[in-house]
Order: sequence, then structure tokens, then C-alpha cells
Amino acid sequence: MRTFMKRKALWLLLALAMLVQVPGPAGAVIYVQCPGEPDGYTSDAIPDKGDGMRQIRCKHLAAGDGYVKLPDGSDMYIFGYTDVTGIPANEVINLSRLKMEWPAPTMVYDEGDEVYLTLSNVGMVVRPDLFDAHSVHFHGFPQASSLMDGEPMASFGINMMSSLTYYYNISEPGTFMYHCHIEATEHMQMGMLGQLWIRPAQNRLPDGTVLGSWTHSNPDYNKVPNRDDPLVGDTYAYNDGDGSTRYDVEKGIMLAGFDPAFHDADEFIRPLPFADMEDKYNSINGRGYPENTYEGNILNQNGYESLKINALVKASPGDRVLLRVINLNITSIWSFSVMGLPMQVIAHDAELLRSPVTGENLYYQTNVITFGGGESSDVIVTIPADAAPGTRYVMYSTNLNLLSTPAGEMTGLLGEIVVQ
Amino acid sequence: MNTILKQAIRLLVVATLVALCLPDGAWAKISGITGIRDKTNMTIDFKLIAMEGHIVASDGATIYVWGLANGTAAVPVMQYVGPTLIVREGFTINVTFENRLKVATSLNFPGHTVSSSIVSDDPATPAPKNGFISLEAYPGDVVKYSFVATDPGTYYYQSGTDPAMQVEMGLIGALIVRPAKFRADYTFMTDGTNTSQVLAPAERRTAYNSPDSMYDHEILYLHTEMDHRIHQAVEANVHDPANAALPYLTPEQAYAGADNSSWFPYYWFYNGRTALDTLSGDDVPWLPNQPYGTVPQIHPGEKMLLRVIGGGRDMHPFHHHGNSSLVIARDGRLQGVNDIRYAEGHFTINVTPGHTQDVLFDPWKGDKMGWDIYGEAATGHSIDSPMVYPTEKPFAESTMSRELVSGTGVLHITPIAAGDQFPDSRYFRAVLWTDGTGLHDATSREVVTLRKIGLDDTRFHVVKRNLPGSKNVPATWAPGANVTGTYHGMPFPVTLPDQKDLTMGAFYSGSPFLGSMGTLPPGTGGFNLNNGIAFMWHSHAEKELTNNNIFPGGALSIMLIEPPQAAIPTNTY
Repeated sequence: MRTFMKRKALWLLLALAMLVQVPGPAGAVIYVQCPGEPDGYTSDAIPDKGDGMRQIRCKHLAAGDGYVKLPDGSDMYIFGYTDVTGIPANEVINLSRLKMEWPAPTMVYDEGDEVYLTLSNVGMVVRPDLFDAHSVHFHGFPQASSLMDGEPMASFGINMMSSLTYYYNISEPGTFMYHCHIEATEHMQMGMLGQLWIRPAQNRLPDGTVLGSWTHSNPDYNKVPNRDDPLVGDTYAYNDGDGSTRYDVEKGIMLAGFDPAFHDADEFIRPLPFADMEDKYNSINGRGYPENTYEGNILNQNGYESLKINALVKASPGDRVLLRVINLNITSIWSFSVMGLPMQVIAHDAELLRSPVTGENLYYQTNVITFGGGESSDVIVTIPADAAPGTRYVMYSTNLNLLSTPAGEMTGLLGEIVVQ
Repeated sequence: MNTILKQAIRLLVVATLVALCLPDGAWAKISGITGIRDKTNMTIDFKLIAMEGHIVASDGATIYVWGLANGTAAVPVMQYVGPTLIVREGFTINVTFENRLKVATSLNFPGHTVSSSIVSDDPATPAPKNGFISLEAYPGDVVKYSFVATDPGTYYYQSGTDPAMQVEMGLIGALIVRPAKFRADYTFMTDGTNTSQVLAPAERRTAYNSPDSMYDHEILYLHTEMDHRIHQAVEANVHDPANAALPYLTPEQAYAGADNSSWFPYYWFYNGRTALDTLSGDDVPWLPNQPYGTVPQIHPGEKMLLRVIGGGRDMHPFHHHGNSSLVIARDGRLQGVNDIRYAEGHFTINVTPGHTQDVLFDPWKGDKMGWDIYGEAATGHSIDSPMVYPTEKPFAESTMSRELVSGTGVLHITPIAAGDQFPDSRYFRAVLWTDGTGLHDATSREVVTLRKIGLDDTRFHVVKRNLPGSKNVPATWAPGANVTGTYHGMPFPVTLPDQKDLTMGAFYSGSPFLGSMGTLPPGTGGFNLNNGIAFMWHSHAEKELTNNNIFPGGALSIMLIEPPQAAIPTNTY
């Protein structure tokens, strides 16, 4: 009895101890937590010195509102994220307000990384009456904790002018995505959506490692790798063990759409039309077509480059092109195709297509993949060895209505693979 | 005090605590009806009545529906969705169906070969007759549908008459066929310190005749949508005083003004309720015609089976936070016939009209997060109890040689046998048990990093961390001791912001740790009675998280991972 009660008393004591909030940053302040950075109030989220024993990755995202240019040249109000890694914390609000990007910055990490992601809510410039919190939901993260999951009913969101640091112990490679989960229908429609890739540990095996019938090449392999080294060897989508997910060129393909009536209502403080929501400006990676095949900048009305990602893939004859396709529209199920090239589907929802019983690969070839919001597919298209330079393979939705936007025909969900 | 009395009092105290923590109303299991079973003749009899009534959507709207009632109840009550029929493989299922609507109607059982017969014919209306799909009963008629439940699996039943209109109006329900050898019993067990539920041997709680389909808990996700304008038009027709004298209405009369060609959903349902009514338990008195809630629950390490049915006409991307899942069966058949060799991993399930899927949610263990969600470092939970933390497989078995290279703090492990397993990650942090017996030593814990150099060379670098309560004692590795790959004891890695800077949710316990609570501002929390870990399971077409323009609502549910001591209602049939 005594032992039991002592344990119980200890538990109560510790619970009481937890009732007192551990002293952290003072209220309503932008504050970065990153091992290797001593002062969170001024930290730029880049560790001054690395920890040789740990794969630490720090990142700082700001969340707020902004504007993008639509294919017809008009301006659309958005909510979004922007990457403020490298900006001292005490300058983030000034330098990031109204500078949100569409899509949100793509985050890329390695298997084995420990990611310290600080999210700072810099408030809404155009809607000073809104005091929405924000969050980051790492969609698909296995064995998640509700606190790090970004879903507010199960945990919380971060209020304006404050920072929250998420921690992810990256254990599985694949194509994931992230988005805000606060008032999800509104914030996701308004554009708080981004791509998230995890590279497999197989990339960093030593040169000459035999993987089934494939021999891994990694000419720059060194035994004390700095994770920031560019990958010069063979790259794979997953730890396939046989080289079957190897690719030469990689591109993220994010399918999403905007409902202009909804965005206008949010900009001009009108009731939000949830029930009649209909995406009209549908796109690959945010820009309209053919702007998304240009490699230059597209500036918004404030002279800021808010549309940073294009939908142009440049590949050589014979190349294996990995398309990390995700769907983040919030209204429908869409179909995606590459005209002229079959897609080999190697993984779905960050799970390699492999039999859980026999271990055989279950990859399949298809002309079309069909999936809804929150799903991802990894496909490999192989450029024919005899493809002439300049050949274009169009990426598009077989829901042909998505190719149109109010800006006109052939301005929507389209992209290109161009042979070099 | 002697040992037996000690244990008895412990059990009493714990049982009282557990009882106090039980959630209100049944959650976490599949409520349904099992009918009247005759084992000699291998039959199961049901009586279903098609009745009109109203349901409530979570924005307060009242919607006129055609639902089904369990006809064997003393007072049959219409419900939407229809009663979930839970039957056994091999039995002949007889469903006696009475029509108390004002139109002809019928039932259809996709996936089964149905024979039907007339039980009684109301003289005021035409006799039952074969319709386009099923034997149809006119108002007042009673018919019987019979089929043999030849294959275990997840199925559904719905109206076979004008289904585009009548299934929209609400005539749909789930049908579950259990394998012949299914056993649902469970018991409470205690080890003297911790009490937990122990379920029947897993090989008996299966969805199919294959051990691949074993599960611990199950939950139903019957997806539907509604365009309430159709319901308004039909209600006006059925209750039009001009039609009051008619014994029945023709389709033209019943559906006048209800335009299916301009159908547009404004409500989305799980098991007949919109959110946030989905979060209430089964059979709550304020929802008398919508008895089924949707609150899945598991303990860490347990498997949950999701029976996912596309009961509407739209596809939905069903996203379950927290872990990935495996689709093991489609339309009542295993992906692999006898095993699950063609099962697919997912984090979002594509729900398709008329299609059923059996999905196994990967057991959530919280074991790879890089910090100890069981909060051993913070809450003092015993880590020796097997029920608190699932044990990791020690990845340095006795077949491997280990040497602590003196002076460098490097522990070098060389696998001897080719099949020795290492974690896939190149970097893997582990807690090193520093005494030779492999048991935890609370005062000299170290954190080490495993670095894999190539495929056959693995080294530990000992990185000392001043964990709470640890002394700065260097690792005293004893040859033969176990190194377990685990994050057990790792502290929470970041500092949470000031409470005033957070907007907290109803299911937040106030603490990152499973089973612990923290202080919460007034008005927050309160729905997570056992301080479990909550995850939202919802449609990822977020437009569907609304009730007729009101957010939040629609296709949204909350899943709870409960501490091992919390009881979870489980199917007993």
C-alpha cells in the first residue's frame, strides 16, 4: 500500500508541477527554438554550430496573408506561409507581413533528421479584424503526437504575433504535404498548402553498395557527411532495396484550386460562402498556364514574388522523372495524366507499393491517377531515349474542365515536361 | 498490511478510478442488432420497418427523412442510418420488411443473392410486385428478403426502389457478416499496479477468415450526403392535404419539385450524424432518430478496423490523422483472397459510392517520435510495467559482438549473422541501459546516437544528456548487456509558448503526454476525459466539414488513443 500511495503521490506532485507552466518565452513574441542557436529572440533558425551527432534541421515559417497574380493578371487575396529561415526572429514580422507565397514553401528533409519547425503567426494585414490562429499539419506523419500534429481540436494553434515550435523525428521517406488546420475549410481554401518531401536514407549509402540487381553509385560519399552536402550519387524515392525507385529528375506537382468568390469575400469582410464553394482557378503549383512554364519571377501587385514555384520539368532523353504528385484541393476528386508518357506508380500516400506478404513490387503502369485531397502518388515517367530535344509532354487533368479558368481556356491545371 | 490485501485495495482504488473515467454513452464500438438467431436451422431473423421522420443536423436544421426502424423493438423508432445488421457467416438471413411510408419501397442487399417473398398484402394498396431491382412493398405491405451470408465482410443494404431518390431520403444501413469463428469476449486484467482490458485471443477477433484481418477494436464509417431541398420537396408532397386521402403516392406525386438533376449536397454525415454530433456517444437522448456516434478509440499498440462504406453518391477522401493504414479488403473480399498480399498502404482513404473497404489502422505506439510520449521523464510512470510502454525489439542481439572502444566513448557493434536487423535510419537515437542486466537504471541514463556506416558497420556515439534525475556518470557498458532502440525517457524537445499565445481545442488534455493532464484556460478542453491523444478523422475535401454554410460540421470525427488504464467499450457480439 505504501509503495502504491507513494507512487500516486509522486504522480500528483509531478502533475501539480506541470500545472505551473515551464518558463518559456514571454507572451506574444516571435521566438525560434533551434539547437545550436543560443538566443531565440534574435535567432535566424540556422544553427551557428552543428551537432555532429544529430541531424538537426531548423526552419522558420511565417503565416499570414498576401496576394498573388491570377492568369488573367488580376490579383487574388490569399492566406499563406513564407519561409523566413535566415531572418532574425526580431525582424520577422516586419519583413514577412503580406509576403505569403502560393503554394507554401516546399520543405525537404532527410530520413533521420530532427526537424525543429518554428511557426510564427504574423497576423493579417488586410484583415486587422481577424485574430485567427495558425498551425502546421504535417499530413501523413506516422506515429504522430497530437501536439505536433497541428490539428486544433486535439491540441492548439498559435495566436498572432507569437511562435510555436514543432518537432518532427523523421523516420519514413516519402511524398507528404502540409497545411494549416485552423478553421481548415477557410484557411486551406485561402492557400495555406505546401509540399513536403522526405528523402530516403538509401541515398547516402556508400559507393558500390549492391541493391538487388542495381549498384548504388555515390562518388562523393564520405563517412562524416554534412547533411547539407548536395546529393551527387543515385537518388531514390524510397528505401526500395533494389534501385527500382531511382530517378534522375524530380518535380513536385501540387494540384489545388481557388474559388474567387470565397477569396473576395474573405478580402472584403463578407460572409464566407462555404456551401457554394467551387474551385475555378485550378493549377499545378499555383501559377496559371503557360506562366508556370516560364522560369522567371511573377510579381504580385506589391512587387513581391509570391508565386515562386513553376510547373516546368526539364529532362533529358532516357531520364527517369519522379513526379511527386499531391492533391490538396478541398472540393473534389481529380484525375492527373501526362500526355504521351505512361506513368509508373511506385508509391501511394508515402507507402511503397510492395506486398506486405510476399515483398514483391506492386508497381503498375497507368495513363491516369485519380485521387482526392490529402492523397499523394509517386509516379515515374521515363523519357524515351529517342525523344528529340524540345519535345513537350503536357501534364494535365483529364477532368478537362480544370484546364479552363475564368481567365480563359488552357489557363488552368496544366504543366510541361520539356526534353533538353 | 499483507500482500493480498494490498493488492485488493490497489485493485479497488484503480477500478474506481477507471469507472470514474468511463466515457458517457457508448463510443468506440459498432452498435447494431443481431436479430433472432436459430442455430439449429442456421437462420437469423430481422424485422425492419420503413418509416418517415425527422433528423437533426448540427446547425440546428430539421430534415425530413425516410429511415428504418428495428421492428422487433417494443416501440419501433425510425433511425437514420438504418440499423446495422451484425450477422454470422453461413447463416440464412431473413429480413421481414414492412412499409409504413406513403410510397412503394424495397430493400436491396448488394453482394448477396436474395430471394424474396410476400408476407402480407395491405388491401388498401396494390400487392407487392417485382420492381426494377427488388420485390417492392406498397404502403402497408410486408415482404421478406432472404439470403445466405456466404462471405464475411462489410456490406450495406439500401432501398431498391427509385434508389436515387430513396437512398438520398435515408434508406440505407450497414450489414456486417462476421466469420463463423468470431469471438468478441474480453476481460479486465491487472498486474497489481495497472489494470487494462485484455481482449480475446486475437485470432478469434477477425474480419475475415484470415489472421491478417485480426483487430482489437472496430468502428463503422458509413458516409452519406444530403441535399435538404429534395427532402423539403418530398415532405411537402407527402404531407400535402390534397394527398391525404390517397392510399399511396406514385413516384411522380411523391417527388414533384424534387430535382435530382440539380442535386447539390449541403450536409455530410458519418453514420447518420453531422459533426459535431458525431462526437456524442451512441443512443444519446437528444438525437432519438440518429443513434450512432463516431468516436473510435484504441489503446497504444492495438489495431483498429475501420469498416468504410460509400453510402452516398459522391467520392470522399477520408483522412485519418495519427498514422497510416492498410486497406485489407474491398467489397467484402480480402486483397489477396486468403491473405492480404495486395493490401495497400494509405494515409487517406478514397471512399467511393457503393463501395466498401475494410481498413486496418496501423497500431499507434508513439514509439518513433524522438521523445517519450508516455512521459516517463515527467510523470514518473513506471517504465517497468509492460503496459505503459510497448517494448521495442532490442536491436543488438546476443549474436553481435560489442566493444566499447576505450577513451573514445564509441561503442562498436558488428553484426555476426547476416539476418541481424538494424534500424533503417542512418541516424537513430537510443537510450542506453547502462547496467549489465538490461534493466533500467534510473540514475545513469545516457542518450546515444547510432550511426550506421555502410550496411555492416554500426557505431554508437555516447552523447551524454543531463536527463532529469540522472547523475553525470559515464556509461558503464557491460559486455552482454542489451541495447534497446527506443526513445524511452527522452524529454519533450521544445518549450511550449505561453498559454495566452495558444488557442486550445476541446480535446486538448493540457499535456503532451498520454494519460497526463495540464492546466487549461477556462472554456477549453473538457472532452478528453482520460487525457488520451486525440486525432481528427475527417473528409479531406474540407468543404465537407460544414453544415449548410456553417463551419465546423459535416464529415468530421475525433479518434482517441486512450491510456492503457482507461476502459474502451468493445463489441460483445
